[in-house]
Amino acid sequence: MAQQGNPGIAGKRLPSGVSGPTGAGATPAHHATLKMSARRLHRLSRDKLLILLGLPGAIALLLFQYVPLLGNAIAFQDYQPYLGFTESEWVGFSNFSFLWDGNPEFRNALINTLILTVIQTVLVFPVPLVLALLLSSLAGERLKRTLQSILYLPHFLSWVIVVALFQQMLGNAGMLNTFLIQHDLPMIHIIGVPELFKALITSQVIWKDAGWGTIIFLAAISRIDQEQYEAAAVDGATSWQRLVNITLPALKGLFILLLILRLGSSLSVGFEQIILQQGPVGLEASEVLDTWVYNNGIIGGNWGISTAAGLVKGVVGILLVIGANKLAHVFGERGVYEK
Amino acid sequence: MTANAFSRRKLLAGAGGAAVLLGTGGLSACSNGPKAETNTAGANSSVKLPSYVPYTGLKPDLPGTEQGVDPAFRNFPSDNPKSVAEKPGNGGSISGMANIYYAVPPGPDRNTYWAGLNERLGLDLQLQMVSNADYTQKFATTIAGNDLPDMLQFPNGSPSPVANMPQLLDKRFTNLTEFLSGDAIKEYPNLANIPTRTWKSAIFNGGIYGIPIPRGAIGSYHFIRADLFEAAGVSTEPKSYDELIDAGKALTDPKKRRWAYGLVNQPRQLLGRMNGEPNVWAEEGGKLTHVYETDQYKQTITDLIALWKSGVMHPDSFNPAQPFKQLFNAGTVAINAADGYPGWTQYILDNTGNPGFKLGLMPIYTRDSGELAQWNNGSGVYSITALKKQDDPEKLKMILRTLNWLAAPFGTEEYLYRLYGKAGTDHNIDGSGNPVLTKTGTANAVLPIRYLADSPYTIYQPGRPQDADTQHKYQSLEIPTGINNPTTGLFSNTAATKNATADKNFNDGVNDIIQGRKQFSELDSLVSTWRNAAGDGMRKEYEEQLQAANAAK
Amino acid sequence: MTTLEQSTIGDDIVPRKSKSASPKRPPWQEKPSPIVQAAKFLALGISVLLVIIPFWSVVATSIADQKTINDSGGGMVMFPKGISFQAYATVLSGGVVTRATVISILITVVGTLLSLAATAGLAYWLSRPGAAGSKPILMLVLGAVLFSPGLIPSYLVVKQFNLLDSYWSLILPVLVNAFNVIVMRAFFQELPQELFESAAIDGASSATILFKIVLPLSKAVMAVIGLFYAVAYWNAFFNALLYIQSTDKWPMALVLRTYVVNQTSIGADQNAVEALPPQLSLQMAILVIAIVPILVVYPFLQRHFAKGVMIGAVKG
Repeated sequence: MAQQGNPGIAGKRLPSGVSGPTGAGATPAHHATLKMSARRLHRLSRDKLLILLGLPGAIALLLFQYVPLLGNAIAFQDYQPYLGFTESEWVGFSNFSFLWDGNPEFRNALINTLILTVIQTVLVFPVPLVLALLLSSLAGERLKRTLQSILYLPHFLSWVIVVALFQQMLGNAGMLNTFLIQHDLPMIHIIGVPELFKALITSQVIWKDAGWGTIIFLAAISRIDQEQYEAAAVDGATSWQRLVNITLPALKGLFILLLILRLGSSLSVGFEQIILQQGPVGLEASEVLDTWVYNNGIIGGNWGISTAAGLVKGVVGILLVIGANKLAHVFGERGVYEK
Repeated sequence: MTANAFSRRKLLAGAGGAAVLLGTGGLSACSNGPKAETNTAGANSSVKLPSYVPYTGLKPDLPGTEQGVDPAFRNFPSDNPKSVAEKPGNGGSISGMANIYYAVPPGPDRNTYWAGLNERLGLDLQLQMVSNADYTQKFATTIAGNDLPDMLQFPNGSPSPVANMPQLLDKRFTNLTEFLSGDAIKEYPNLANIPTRTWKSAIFNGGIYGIPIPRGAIGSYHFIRADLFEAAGVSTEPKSYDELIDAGKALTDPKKRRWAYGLVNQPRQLLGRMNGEPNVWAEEGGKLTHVYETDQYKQTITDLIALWKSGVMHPDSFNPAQPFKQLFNAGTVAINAADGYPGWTQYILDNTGNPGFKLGLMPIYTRDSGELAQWNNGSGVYSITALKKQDDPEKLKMILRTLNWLAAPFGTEEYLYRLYGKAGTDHNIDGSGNPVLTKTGTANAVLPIRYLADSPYTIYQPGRPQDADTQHKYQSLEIPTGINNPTTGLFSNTAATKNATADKNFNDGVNDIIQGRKQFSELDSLVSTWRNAAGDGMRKEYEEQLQAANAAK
Repeated sequence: MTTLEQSTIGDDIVPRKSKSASPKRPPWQEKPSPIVQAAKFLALGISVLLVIIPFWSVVATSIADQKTINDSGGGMVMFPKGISFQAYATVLSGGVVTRATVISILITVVGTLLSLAATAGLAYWLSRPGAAGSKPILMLVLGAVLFSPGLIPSYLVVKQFNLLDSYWSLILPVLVNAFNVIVMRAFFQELPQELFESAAIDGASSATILFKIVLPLSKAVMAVIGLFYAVAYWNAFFNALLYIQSTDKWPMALVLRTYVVNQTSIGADQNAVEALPPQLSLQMAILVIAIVPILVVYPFLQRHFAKGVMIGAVKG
């Protein structure tokens, strides 16, 4: 590997460096620091081209993500847009009080969010993978592509439209129920039933994004060496065995990576989708964290609370990602980042 | 996947759209800021409101009244006098920002209407426009970035859902008192044509801080599909609770996809009036009672429970995103009881190709006395336009002259251009003298300048002179029974910041009660939750102002 | 772009198809059992129907006249009786939509290319084991996935850079999507490490390795991430809403939004001046118009990830 080749060179060049380790009077600690910074300097010069290639992206992130992120300090302010950051009053942690003041609506929103996250991680997350496997198992290239180009279409509809379409098809006065009523059959209530709300949300997510989600897995599948399949087939492996022994292992790393990232956003579940559909079922069944923040922070222009909630979500996300990543390492997987 | 992550970044922020979409009101800019010291009731009630000098250059076919019936024209006046003698501008440019409801017009370079407007104004009018649903977001960032346009429409609502509005106005916007108070407004005769009652909404910090966009006192109409009423063989004027219920049943046939009502707030409004609910707040001796706290409201909810059970409401009536206008046009619902009065024009136009369509207006009677029920007047303002602080008083005057031009009354030469553009290009004149927009005009003339300044509403339906009579008759019938919301024109920071949420939670619980998911007995606890969250705070702020105003009298 | 061509050539070199076997199935693959086959087609068939029916309805409604819509109770239409292209004519008149489409195409093309370049560069840096600074930068990227800056601070930054009302405000703030960087990095990491070693021995610079080895072998992920970016640029309206002041510079998605979100505003302040086609038809027509460009472009990208590159071919 490239990395292994280079330390050798580094070893050769280091002693002749400016901050040579033989410098008199250097304490061991000082010594170590110098050595480290020299190594760092060296690595910098070794990788300067690499860094140059990556720097534009990193700078864009810094300027447009991290600089405005400093503005999230308003989580500790009673922020007023007309006063700005400098003149708004600092209020300590009072914007975070929803965390400990035992507000039942917040607790309800949190529970709904967690339930939806679990449902969506278990039921929704694997769907694109299954669909991608199904598609890639099709023999005809043209058929495969056509089907895939149909299935990804719903991704391009905004939630407003998706919700309206579901209403038109499955609503209590939608096409399905109109048909049933006109044929004297009992109606099927799907929309507007609190008990079915989470199922409805979940099926909408699948409908909208499952086809789109196949794309990334198809890309990963396309990288698998066809010779492996051929060799396995020659050795008498059935198509099921080839799937289990070749395809799935090849996709495992990506799957775990995406899963960890999904966990990082556990506390966000379909804001726009849900806020559009809260009316008929009521808040008890439908309030999630993001809608709670909207209803209790943003509607009233309380920028402090909404920013505070964003920070809390980020911190929880980090903890989950670190935990999940550790777990992945235990199982010998690479995860999002290496040890 | 990525696109999700991509958009989630701004989704919370982007939610302002949903607010308006859901009818929960707009978004405000901030919360409990420093206490208003200048915005005292005493200071505000001592402001000398602009003199009201009604425009007399054109005589309507049916006159308006002081109480608030709008004047009506059967046809567009053939004589279009000029109301502004000189071009307001000096060749410079001024900027404005306002909301829009429809597709955006082409930009100034490719829009002959816009170019013509600039020519008439004698300046370069730069406009930012944002769809109404997203307006409060844009407004908040505009304030935060402090790059204000010269003329800025505050988000619509009464009060405007902007926190600490008095302090914001004080810090960034112009006190217009010296230009507009009392007879000073006569310098701008078209602004003097704006009725006195609407100016109250522009009073803050003991001064006049904006130009109100006036709207009719009637507020909303109870639209009905008269053709469907006739087909069902029921009167278009149900004179009691029982008759209203019977009409609802006769209009409903789920197999044919027909229901009486399409959204729960519509029968709620009808029944509320029938039961004699106050217009949001009831005042007695400076003390306020909110409609939610009244027995009449309890009666309304009891009635709604029965109504929902009887099946005369569209089964998706609790979906706030219900496309109720489409349902009404399609005849799926027959009563559309809570839509703004300018909707008349929209419904007539939407149904030009719908031969059976007959639009009607339903008066509302009390429960069983056979008398007309009281009417709840609207706030009379759509929004206010505030002017950025200017160093140069001459520029300020130019802006006011421009607004004066834009507020030209119905039928004047300026009005004709403002709404219909140039004859031959943007509109043609039909046989009865009515301007009819061309394709070009339709695309080009939708600049949101009517949300920067506007003339008082005038009833007029191109090509349908009889509609003027129908509407005028309805207004003349209902307006005399009208009651005002006693808090109209007062600013409560709790109302601007906390009430939207509290009200949403309250109505959510009430909807559960109506649908039988909660017991009726839980209504009391919903009310007390609402009072704690916002109701009592609003009451206190309003009462202080009312009492001070009464004392000043 | 040479990289794409190179790997396309590689693609063709692969002696995959044997003339004697069925043209669809590689010779070594057995015939699938009829039951499995039937189940597969049933599952896919249902999925496809679930998508096609609503989409059919979108198209049908866009060409329906008011009467057809009224007959269907004011809702979506399955079978338009009276066909009218009035909605399309209205949407396209005045030139606003066509202009916005051109703007959107430009932003999407320029933005996607820049984003892909920045993302690939960053992902490449982060994917090289032991590269200087890669650890902290990776954490920086991950942090950007989890924390999002607020609306107002973002606005102020864009304003500070003098980007307000500039098309760059629609590209630079979203130039790099941290999620995409992480995914692309994962794909780069799975490339065979021997290739890097031998290239390093030959004295190839990191740039040479990127252009000669990494990118040609990563056609699939480049296509996917490119698609992610393109679609995000195409659909983005919110930044335009905040940052673009003159409507003349509005992208398609924002124009589309003004049609969609205003439909149900209760008590909206109507400003009707002419009989328009039914609102619903207008909305559906503009939806169709907004999706068509994606439909046109998609197949060209799709072939890169639906089939992919043969690593074996490059190696051999």
